[in-house]
Amino acid sequence: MDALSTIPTTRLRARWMRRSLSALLASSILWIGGGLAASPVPPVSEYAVKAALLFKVAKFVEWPAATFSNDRSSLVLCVVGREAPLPSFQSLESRQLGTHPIVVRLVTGDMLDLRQCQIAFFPQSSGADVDYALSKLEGMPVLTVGETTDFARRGGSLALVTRDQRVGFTVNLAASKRSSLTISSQLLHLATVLEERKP
Amino acid sequence: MSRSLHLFIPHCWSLLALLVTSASIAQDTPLDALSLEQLTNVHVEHTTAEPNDTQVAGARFVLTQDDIRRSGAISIPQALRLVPGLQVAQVDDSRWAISARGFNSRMSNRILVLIDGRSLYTPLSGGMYWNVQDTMIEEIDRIEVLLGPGGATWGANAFNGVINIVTKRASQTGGFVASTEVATDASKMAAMRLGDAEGDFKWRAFAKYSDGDSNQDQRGTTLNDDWEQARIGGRAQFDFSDASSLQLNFEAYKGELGASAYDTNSLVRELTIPWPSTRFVDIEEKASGGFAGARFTHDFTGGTRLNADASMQYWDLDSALMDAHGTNGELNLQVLAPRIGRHQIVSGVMARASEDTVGPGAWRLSMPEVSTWRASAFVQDEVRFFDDRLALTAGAKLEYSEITGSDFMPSLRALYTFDADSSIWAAASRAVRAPALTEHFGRLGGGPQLAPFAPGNPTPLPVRGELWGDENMDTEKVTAFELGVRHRFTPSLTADLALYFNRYEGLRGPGDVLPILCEPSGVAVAANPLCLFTSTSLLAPFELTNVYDSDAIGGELVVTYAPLSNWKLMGSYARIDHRQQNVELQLAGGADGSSELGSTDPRHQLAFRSSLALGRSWDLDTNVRYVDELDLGAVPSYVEMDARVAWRATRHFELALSGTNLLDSRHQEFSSDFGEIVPVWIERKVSLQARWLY
Repeated sequence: MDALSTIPTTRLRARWMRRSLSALLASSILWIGGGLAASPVPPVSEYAVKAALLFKVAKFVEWPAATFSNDRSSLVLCVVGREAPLPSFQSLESRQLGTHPIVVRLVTGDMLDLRQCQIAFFPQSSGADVDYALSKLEGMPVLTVGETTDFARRGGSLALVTRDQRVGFTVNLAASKRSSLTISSQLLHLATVLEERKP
Repeated sequence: MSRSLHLFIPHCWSLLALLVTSASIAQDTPLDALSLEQLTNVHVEHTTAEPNDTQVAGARFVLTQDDIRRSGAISIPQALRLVPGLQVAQVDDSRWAISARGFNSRMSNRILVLIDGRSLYTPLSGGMYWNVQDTMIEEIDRIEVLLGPGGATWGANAFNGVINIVTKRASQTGGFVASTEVATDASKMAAMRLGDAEGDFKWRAFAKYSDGDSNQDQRGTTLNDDWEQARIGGRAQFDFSDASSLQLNFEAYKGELGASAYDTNSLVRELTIPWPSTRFVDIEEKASGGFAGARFTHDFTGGTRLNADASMQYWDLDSALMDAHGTNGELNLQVLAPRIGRHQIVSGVMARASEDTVGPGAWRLSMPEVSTWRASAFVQDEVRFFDDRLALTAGAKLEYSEITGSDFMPSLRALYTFDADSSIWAAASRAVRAPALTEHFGRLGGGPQLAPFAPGNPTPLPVRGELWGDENMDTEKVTAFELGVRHRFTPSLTADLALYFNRYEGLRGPGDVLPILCEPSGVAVAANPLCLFTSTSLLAPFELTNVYDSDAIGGELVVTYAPLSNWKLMGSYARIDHRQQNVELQLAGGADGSSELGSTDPRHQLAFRSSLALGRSWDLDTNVRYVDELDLGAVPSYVEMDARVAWRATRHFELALSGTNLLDSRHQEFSSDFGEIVPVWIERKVSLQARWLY
């Protein structure tokens, strides 16, 4: 009786040990592999897509000639208020828009600093006073970019809105016209064009 | 065994293959290779919203550069007037008393003030010389104010609050900025900055000159509080890679700051003159100093950030009261770990050494030179529960000082977020205030003297009083309990309420009566009464040390409302109730035996701010404040208004008309808590400000 009962237990234990060993092996390989795979490849984050999208969209935008001092002067892309989106946008720094190399800057407490930018990206919950910033940029050749449709309604030129895990974009034509920016009609086919509702 | 391994190995290979292919797919199709339409179809990983400024478990208030510029402030203390819950009082034209949640003093010794993480605390006097701590106002990015103890992170002296001034990075200050101000009282300011914000080497440099005019006393006598100061500073930033950067900073200043002090000598000559005396002597403080510092930041793969700071400061102050100079060095190391699971851990170590020399003068130390050091370590863990709704932050700092030994400063904070519109927080924390060197070794003379045979002096010799420090004085301690609620009623109406109960232990006050000494021999009269015959005067020392415990209860309410998108209103109310008033002031104010001891804090403070932006070119800003009376020096309550109209003529030029203290031609805000400086009536001022930006 004793012998009968011990044999299956040992077998069970051995099988259990084997299973746990293989599970351990598998998980450690997964872990190493995961680490290998994860470290060089950035995940497709929302801001990475938004940065890539903004770069594409900006190709369809024309700034007035007087904006740049010469053909080689840099195009300043400002991220307002928050550091989190900064790395995604900084990956654009090696690129050029037309002949202008892109430079990325963080603008925090001082909304007047935005006048040195050609593109101003306002992340959500940046803590910045968006209305104040937009009022100070009124009529200036700055492409203002936000993350909500409401941003475009309040007078921003462009909104990169995430809906159902996809990023779409909305253009406020009236606002971009006031900023003397010309947006190519090619782009407008892909965008939601917004009628402004100014207070 | 072997069979199961055979079964298992192919699994491993397929797993590895899967991993490699998934990695290569992600690598081979960078986002920029996709077309616009394809990009709009990429599945994105949702970025979890970072907690914004309003979601912290504490009474925190942030002033931005926009707020500061729109207030018309040209110095840091003026900007701090905008912060609800701070007590800000102008003592004379260059001197300010600023505190958080009470105990206001010209030394501001119960709050910690930092610029870019560098402590501005002066070890000798244990406080802030607001008149020599300045910068070009356009350099400031924001000022973060924490009301209540911050000892668990910031260490000793973050007793009742922390004021953290953050200047712009070199990458934010390209081009040229110049600003000037001329005012009706003949005061002037001019400042300019030059910088390059591009490339791997970024830099900026600024220079600022301020010239302040004198005010009058109660009777209309012109006092000697005019001053001037020049300051230069700069910053260089080297970006080695995306992950590492080194920042070098320096600043230097030189100034002459006048004041009027009571003439204590006249008391000896003329018995009829009451204290405070009506006779003033002019004091000229010559102040100079500066600092040099380096900050290294590195982001490790995996998200850990390392901040390393090293700085050296030098200061020199030469006046009729005191001739002193000091050097201090500070080292700070901070590690911010990424969020792992529920936890986010921040830790750090700090060490500071100082050497101060106080020359002969009315204010001196029992030894001419003191070198001392302190070191500390802290760790803080933020743990999140219930889908990040509940955030618990536990932290503690252990600080060791060569003089007072070790102090433990723990804190526990909890924040519960109901939804985007409402949250509630509570905190329990403990902090200490390290006594200054003057509180340990001080010999502060220059006070009133009693003439021979004057009432209270039966001897034929003049008796001189002196405040003495106590070498055994320990740190003052506070245990604070706080509770706060934040709610957004509508998108344009929010309210923020913070309440606190603080229990203080070992607050500074007059200690035991020390034996009266014969001068110049220094022999105690009680020990050898015969010394009276060989002395020229007698010395009566008063000791200041840990004497009393007290409680304070109070709160702050801030309501913001935006009736229009371009018009913002803010109202605030702050209240403090001390159970026991400042006992230490018995000595300072009560030298004649008649003045009452009292609080230096207004029980009620109300403020109202309106910010209207009219299009691109115009800003219209108004601040109105009510400050309740102060017991000490019987400073009456007052209502004052500041207003500013700014016109941005072009993209590069701004002109503003700014008025401060518009409601009265002159008014008093503070009475020096050390009794030596004549209270000043601050004048109404209208100024013209111009700013160029390229």
